[in-house]
Amino acid sequence: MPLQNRLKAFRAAQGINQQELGTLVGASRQTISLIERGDYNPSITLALRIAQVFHRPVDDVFYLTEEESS
Amino acid sequence: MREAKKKSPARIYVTFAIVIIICGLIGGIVGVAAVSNEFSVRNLGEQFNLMLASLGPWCYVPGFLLLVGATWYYFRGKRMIPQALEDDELFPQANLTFCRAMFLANLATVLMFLAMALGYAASWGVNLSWFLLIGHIIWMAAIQARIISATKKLFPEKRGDIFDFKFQKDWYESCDEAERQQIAQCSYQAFKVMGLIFPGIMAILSILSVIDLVAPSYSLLVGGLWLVQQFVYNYTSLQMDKKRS
Repeated sequence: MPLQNRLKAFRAAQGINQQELGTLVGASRQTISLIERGDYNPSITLALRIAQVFHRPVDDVFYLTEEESS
Repeated sequence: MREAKKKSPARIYVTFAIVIIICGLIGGIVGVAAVSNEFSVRNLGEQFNLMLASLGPWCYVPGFLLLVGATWYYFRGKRMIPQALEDDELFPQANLTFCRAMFLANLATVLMFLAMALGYAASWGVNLSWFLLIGHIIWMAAIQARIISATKKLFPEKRGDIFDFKFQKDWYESCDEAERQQIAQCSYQAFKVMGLIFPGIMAILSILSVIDLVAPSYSLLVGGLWLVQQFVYNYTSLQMDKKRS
């Protein structure tokens, strides 16, 4: 099941850019960009740190979707 | 994570046995052919050495061409920096451009060492080879330093000075989990490829040493390198297992 996220929306709501979010959670801007695009699944620690920045539970920010049948 | 395709154990063993038999047969045929055509193979080896020697300072050309490419990518990436810092879409492209520049510069480093080893084979080119070597080193060091400096503008958290012997360590320590995972994947690929190349080269050297075309020291050199690689990998793995137990 692919991991999806609402990172971009929450980031926009908080008015912070990728670099600032990266600094807050100890990740690079590239990693934030990869997570937003769904190209990288963060570790539990990083996911918790990201959720903490937005004051949301982790499953509000990250969620699983059913895999599309090919 | 992708699930690995399940293969039956019998199929794995049969495939392994077939590959070993085929490799043995090829090795045997090549060995017999080399021994029976000893003179021709020796002649071929000598011709190859003469060809390498005749290249002289021209050995530096591929390295310089790569440095031209690296410099071109560097300036292209540098122009993208101001906009990339603001634009989330352009940021990965700017990063990729610097990665390409560093890729070419790193390959140029290896080619420089190759050229250094081969460039002096021709006595007529020694002076020119020295001049080219110094030029290559300066250009290579300068472009690598500039690429790292530009990359640090995109990634302000990155640490390390390219002229510091601790550069690799400092850079790695300033990487986050995704970047470290990427480094691990790249290292795995390099290890996997070298795991095929080392035994292949050893087999070729063994055959060539049968007809005294290459000295046994070449086998010792390649075997030594292989041993270092295996030792470092396995020792690091062992140390990590120790910490976890």
